[in-house]
Amino acid sequence: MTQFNASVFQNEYLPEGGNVVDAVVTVTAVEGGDVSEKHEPIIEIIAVDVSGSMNEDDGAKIRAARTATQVAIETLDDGVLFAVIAGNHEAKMLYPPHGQLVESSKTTRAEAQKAASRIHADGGTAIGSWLRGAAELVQGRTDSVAHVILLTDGRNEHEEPWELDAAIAQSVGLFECDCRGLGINWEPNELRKISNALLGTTDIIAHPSEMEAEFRALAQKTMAKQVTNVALRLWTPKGSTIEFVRQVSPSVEELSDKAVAVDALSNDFPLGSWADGESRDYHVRILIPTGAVGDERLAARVMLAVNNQAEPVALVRAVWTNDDALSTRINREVAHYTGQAELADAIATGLAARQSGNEKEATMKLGRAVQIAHEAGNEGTVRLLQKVVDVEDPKTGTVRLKRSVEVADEMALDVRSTRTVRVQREG
Amino acid sequence: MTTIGPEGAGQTCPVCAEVGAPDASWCEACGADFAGRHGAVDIDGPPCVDCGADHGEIMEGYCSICGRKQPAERDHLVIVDGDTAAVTDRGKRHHQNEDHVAIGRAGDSIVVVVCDGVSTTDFPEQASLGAATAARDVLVERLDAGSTDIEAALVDAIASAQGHAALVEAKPGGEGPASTTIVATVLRPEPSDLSIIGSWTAWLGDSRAYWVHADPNDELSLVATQLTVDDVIGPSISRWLGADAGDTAPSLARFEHDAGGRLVSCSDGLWKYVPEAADLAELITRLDSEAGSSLDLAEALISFSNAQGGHDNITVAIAPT
Repeated sequence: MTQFNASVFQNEYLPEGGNVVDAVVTVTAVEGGDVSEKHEPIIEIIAVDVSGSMNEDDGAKIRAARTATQVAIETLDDGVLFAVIAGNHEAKMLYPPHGQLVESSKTTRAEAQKAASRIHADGGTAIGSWLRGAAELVQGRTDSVAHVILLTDGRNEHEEPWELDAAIAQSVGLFECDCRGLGINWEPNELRKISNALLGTTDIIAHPSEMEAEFRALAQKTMAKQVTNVALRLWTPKGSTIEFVRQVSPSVEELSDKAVAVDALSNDFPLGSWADGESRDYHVRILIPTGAVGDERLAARVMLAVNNQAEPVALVRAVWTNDDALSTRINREVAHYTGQAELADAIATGLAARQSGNEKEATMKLGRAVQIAHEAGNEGTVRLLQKVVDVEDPKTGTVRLKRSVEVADEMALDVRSTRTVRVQREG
Repeated sequence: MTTIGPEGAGQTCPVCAEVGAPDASWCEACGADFAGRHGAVDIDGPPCVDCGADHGEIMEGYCSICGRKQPAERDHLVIVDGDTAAVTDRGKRHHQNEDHVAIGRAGDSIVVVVCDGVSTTDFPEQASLGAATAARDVLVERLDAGSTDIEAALVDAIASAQGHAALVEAKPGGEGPASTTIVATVLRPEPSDLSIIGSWTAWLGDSRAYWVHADPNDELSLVATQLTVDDVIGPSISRWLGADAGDTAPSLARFEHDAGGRLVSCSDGLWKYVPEAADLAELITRLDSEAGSSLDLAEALISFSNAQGGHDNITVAIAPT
C-alpha cells in the first residue's frame, strides 16, 4: 500500500508580536508495507469532442480523434473499468453501447477501438452534458481512482453557463478530469474551471498530430495511480486562520476554497489520487495567536488522510524571538514558491492587459514574468514567454511586446503559466 | 529518591513514567534527574500553561487546542539535597535549556557539577545532561568508596563525562557534534580539622565555581573568590567536552577555606551579568537579606538573570558549609 512522507520547509522564528507562519510542505507517495496489496480499482473515461467543427482541417481533427482514442484504449491495463463518450450537444455512449462501464480485456479493447474508428462529427458543443454522462457512469464507485480525459475543440456554446457549473459541481468527488483543447477555438477559462474543480490539468493540443501522444501520456498517468481520496489534513490552533493552502509544484493550484471541516480545528484539502513516487509541494500560510518571546506554538499539525484515515506526517512550528537575525530570515522554499505564484499571476494579468490593448501594463507584467522565470531557472516558462515578447535583458525584465503573435503560442503561455519548477539546489 | 520497582525491574521515572534501567541515574526519555527533587509532580499532569486545557489535551508536548508547547522539565529544574540547592533555567531567549546541573553527597563531602551545552552544536542538551550526571556519579561512587585522591577521582569523572558527551550523535548535515562545558567541584572538610573545608575543582570551558564568604573586615558584606579560570579565546570557549574536543584533561584547582562559606557554581547565563567576582559578591550580599535558604538564593539569582534579559540558559548551584 502507498504511504506518504512529508517534509516541512519554514523559518519557524517570528518576531515579537508576529503571527504569520509560512511553510512549504513537500508530500511524497512511496510504495510501502505489503506491496502485494492491490491498488484501488481504476476507471478511465475518454470523453472526446465529435461536434461539427471537428470536421475542419480537411478531416485531420476527426482522424486524430479516432486514432488518439484508439491509442488511449490500447494503453489501458486489463481489469480497468472504462468507457468512451462521444460528446457534442449531448453525450452519446460510443462504447460500450449499454451505458455502463466495462472491464478492459483484449476483447473489449478491440471492440472499443472498432467503435472509435467509426467516430464521425456533427452537432454542437455542450461540455456539461459530457460531464453528466461521466458522472452517471462513475456514480457509487467512490473507492475507485476515476479519471476522465476530456477533449474539445470549441467553446461551450450549446448550453447555459449555469448548466456547466452544475455539472462540474455534481462531478466533484466522483472523478478527476484532465482537459485538453484542440486548436485555438476553445476557451481556456472554461476548461480551467473544470480542471481546477476536478483536480486535473488544462493544456493545449495545438495540432491534431500531437493528440495521439497526449492521449497515451494521460492514460499512462492514470494507469500508474495507486491510491485515491487523499486529503491534506491541517490541524491549526484555536483562534487561527488558514490564509491559504495552495499546491505550488508541479503547478500552482489554489486549494483554499476546497477546505472541508473535519472538526472545530481541522480541515481537509482534497489532493485526489496519487501514483507511487509522486511528489507535490504545498504552500500554507496560517495566522496564529501570537506568543511571548521564547514561547513556541504549533502552527499546524500536517496529516495525510486516505479514505478519512489520517496519519500525522509533519509539524509546522512558531517560535518567538527578539533576535532579528533569526526572525527576518526568509526560508528558501517559501521565497521560491512565493515567486512562482507571482510569476503565474504576472503572466495572467500581462496577457489580459495585452488583450485589452493596455500595452504599458502588459509590457511591465510580462517583463516581470521573464525576470522571475529567469531567476528561478524556469526555462520552460521563459521559452513560452519568448513567443509573446522579445527579451532584451532577462535579469532586469526588459522586454518588448511582439507585434505578431501566434494565437496558439499565446494560449499555451496562458494555460501553462502555472507550471513551476522546484528550488534549484547546489551540487 | 525515585520509585524502585521489583528486583531486576527498571526504575519508573516520577516525571514521565518511562521505565529506565535499574541503575540509571536520569531518565532517558525526559531527562529528569533521579537523584534530585523535581518540583511538584502531578501524575494526571498539569493543564496547558496557555489556555488551561486539560492535561489530556497535551499531545507530544503541544496543546491540541491552542498549540502551545508545554514547558519541558528542564525549562526550570530544581534540585535540592539537604542544604545544597541547584536551579537551571531556560532563560528568556533560548527555546530550550541546554545547561544541566547535578549534585551529590558522600558522607560529609558535597559534589556539584555544572555543564553548559554549546548551542551551535547538535543536541547540546544531551551532552550537558550526560556529562553532568556521569561526572557526579563517578565522584559520589569514589568518595563513598573512601577514596582520598580527589584529583584522580575528578580526572576520572571528567573522562566519564567526556565519554557520555562524545556518544551524542550529530545530525546528518547538521551543525556538528554536541559540545558542553563542565565544572565539577568536590567540597570536603579536612579530616584533621573540620573547620577547614577543602575544595577541588576540575573544568573545561567557561562555567565557573566561586567561594563566597563573609568579609573578615565587614561582617555585613560578602567576598567571592573565583576558583576557576575561564578557558576562552575572545568571545569563544577554547576547551570543551564532546566528540570533536581535542585534549579533554581538565584544569584543576585546589583551595582551603574556612568553614561557613558557600560554593557558588554557575554557567555564563548568570556570570555574564556579574563578570567580576566582586560584582557577584555584591549581588549575593543584596539578595541574601531576602533569601532564607540556598534554594531561595539560587532562585533569586535566576530571577535576577532573567530580569537582565535572560539571554542565555542560566544555572546556579549553591552549597553552604
